[in-house]
Amino acid sequence: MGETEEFIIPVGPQHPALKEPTNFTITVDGEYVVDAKARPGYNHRGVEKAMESRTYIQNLYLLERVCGICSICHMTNFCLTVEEAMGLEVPARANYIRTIMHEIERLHSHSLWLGVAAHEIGFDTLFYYIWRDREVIMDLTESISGNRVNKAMPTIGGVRRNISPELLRDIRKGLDIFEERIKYYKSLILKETTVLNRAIRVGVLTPHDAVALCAVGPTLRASGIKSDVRADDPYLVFDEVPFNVMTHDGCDVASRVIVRCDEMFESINVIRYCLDHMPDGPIRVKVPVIMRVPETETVCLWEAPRGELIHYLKSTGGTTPYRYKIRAPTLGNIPSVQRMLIGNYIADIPIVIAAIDPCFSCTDRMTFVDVNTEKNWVWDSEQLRRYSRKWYQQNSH
Amino acid sequence: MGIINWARTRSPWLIHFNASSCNGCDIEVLAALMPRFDVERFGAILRGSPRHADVLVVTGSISMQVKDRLIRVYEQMPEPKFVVAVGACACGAGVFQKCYNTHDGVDKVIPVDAYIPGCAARPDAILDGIVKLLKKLGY
Amino acid sequence: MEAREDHVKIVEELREAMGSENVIDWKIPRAKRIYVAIKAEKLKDTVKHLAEKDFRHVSTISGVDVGDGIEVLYHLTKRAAGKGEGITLSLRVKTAMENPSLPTITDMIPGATLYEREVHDFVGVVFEGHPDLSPVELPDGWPKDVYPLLKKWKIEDIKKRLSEVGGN
Repeated sequence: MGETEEFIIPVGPQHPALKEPTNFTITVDGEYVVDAKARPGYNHRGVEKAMESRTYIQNLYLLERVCGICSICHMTNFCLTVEEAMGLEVPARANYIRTIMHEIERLHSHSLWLGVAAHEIGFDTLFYYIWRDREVIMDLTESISGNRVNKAMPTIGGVRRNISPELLRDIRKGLDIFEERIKYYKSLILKETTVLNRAIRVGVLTPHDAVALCAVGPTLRASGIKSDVRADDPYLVFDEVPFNVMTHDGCDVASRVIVRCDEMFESINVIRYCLDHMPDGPIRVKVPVIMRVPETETVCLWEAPRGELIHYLKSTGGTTPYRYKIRAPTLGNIPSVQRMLIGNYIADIPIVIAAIDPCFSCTDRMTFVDVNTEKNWVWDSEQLRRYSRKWYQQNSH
Repeated sequence: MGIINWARTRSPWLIHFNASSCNGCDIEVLAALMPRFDVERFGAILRGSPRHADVLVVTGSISMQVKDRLIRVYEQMPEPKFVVAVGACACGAGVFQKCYNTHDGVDKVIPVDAYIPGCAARPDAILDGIVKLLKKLGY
Repeated sequence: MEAREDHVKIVEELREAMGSENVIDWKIPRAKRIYVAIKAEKLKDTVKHLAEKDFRHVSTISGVDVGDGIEVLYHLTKRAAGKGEGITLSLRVKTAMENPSLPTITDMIPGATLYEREVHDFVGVVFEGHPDLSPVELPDGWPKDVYPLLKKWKIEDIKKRLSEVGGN
């Protein structure tokens, strides 16, 4: 049979009990994908089990590292879950600051993704430009929280750092610069035929499939389904801040790009609203370091950059959680990505998988099986990317 | 120093391996390649294949599933090869101590030449670590 | 409290459709959160009934070792088209500790497939009729008798068992 050189395509980030680069097995018929099966499991670290033997404050720092790209999401959702279980009322200023961090994280995540998606279709120059401009957001993150990644801003009862008036001014300036750049990249992407060829009618997910397969986030919204946790089940200050749920009807990779660009503009508007309406007051209420959470259950939903995130807490009145369940968004999109791959060319695989915004880690592997020749082979991501660029150069349509 | 070593220290080719990382350090490794920090001015480029690489950059706390792959990637690299452990998890489990599926650092699996701590390790720190490694090799 | 009345109506319709003897318990701790406990035999009918009432999205499925059995919670979300009226209904079903098993819901909601596999990985519940219950989170080579999220498995014991099979 064929030689086997192996490679895995990672799909993540997700929460650790779930988060892993994923091995796909792709069944092909000539140039077309007829079936795709994902096998996650490479990043399983056992966080849910570890949480059961740590106090709530210790868990705060563990949760942050479930995913380095959406660390604020996991951390703040954990805070919301525990605060709801304890019946804690968080000061208004803290919620505004949390919302600002939340949306700044969405900006960093979506711009990171845009650069990586450009890289997947061979547009490396755009990758470098976008990541250079993303540094504006990283600088703001560092000014507000003290770190670029793993910001440790939220805590149970509020946030740990305040935002000074000078910083408010800097945030506005940074957002203005960033907004101009994203406008430019969005218009570039929508006009550049090499990009559009790789994105239009590629990786189609019908609205019916999107709902049946329980897709979440921009993947769902790019199939025209208007669903966003911030609007359906508002948390933090989203019941006060006016914002729009961005959808697009194309159901393909191009739609996913458009939805994420539009979400970035909405995030910028949300942050501006929060800066304009920031209430005065304390930024946290004190909680004991070793706190007991009453016997209760809580479920909290959150809209991470990749989609709906859900945390479930069961407490039996102790100082450690009895059970904490985390389902990060990318796991929710794996059935959809398996469906989306079918009917596409092999050369489309990198961008279709990238379009659900998975982790881009470099341990990529994919196993191919050809139904006609019964040949099977394994490629690494570099080989697949090179193949797909060459294929498109030879077969531009 | 001979011309080969001179060439090697002036163009270390990197391969990046994510061994169950949360991606925090991985995005900072990528950021180190981007225009702001630009590790390429030291001659470093990111390669996709271990057979072309001099330096293996490892992030993450190494789960059971990934351990064999890490060893295989290391064995595929030609000599001389060097390993850089980036981030608190790679240096020694980090926040994932006492989890059932993690190792206490990359050096429990393969030999390490440079440790870059941080959670996540900043691109400045990654650059500093790579330069220190090159200096150790005679840059 | 209009939202609550609306939630109570959902529970009452469910009790009427499934028979109130099959709905063991229910609570509405706050707006947008409903918890209902049902008998395992009525799981598929309940999920079908709720899907018709727009609870079509499975956010996730949690498996919890509660000592005298395994509690499986199906977190079903009703979307609200962006109008702020989304509801999450957590459906609680209990199964025995010995040979825990429940019928699959993937024939009605295909998107639940990975969540059922995950519950199987961590607490050992077998979902009858699921097309493929192979591990989704746990690595290849994981010892088959270790279900990590059962209370009887302490982390040190799991690590010891893994080193026996050459994992660590």
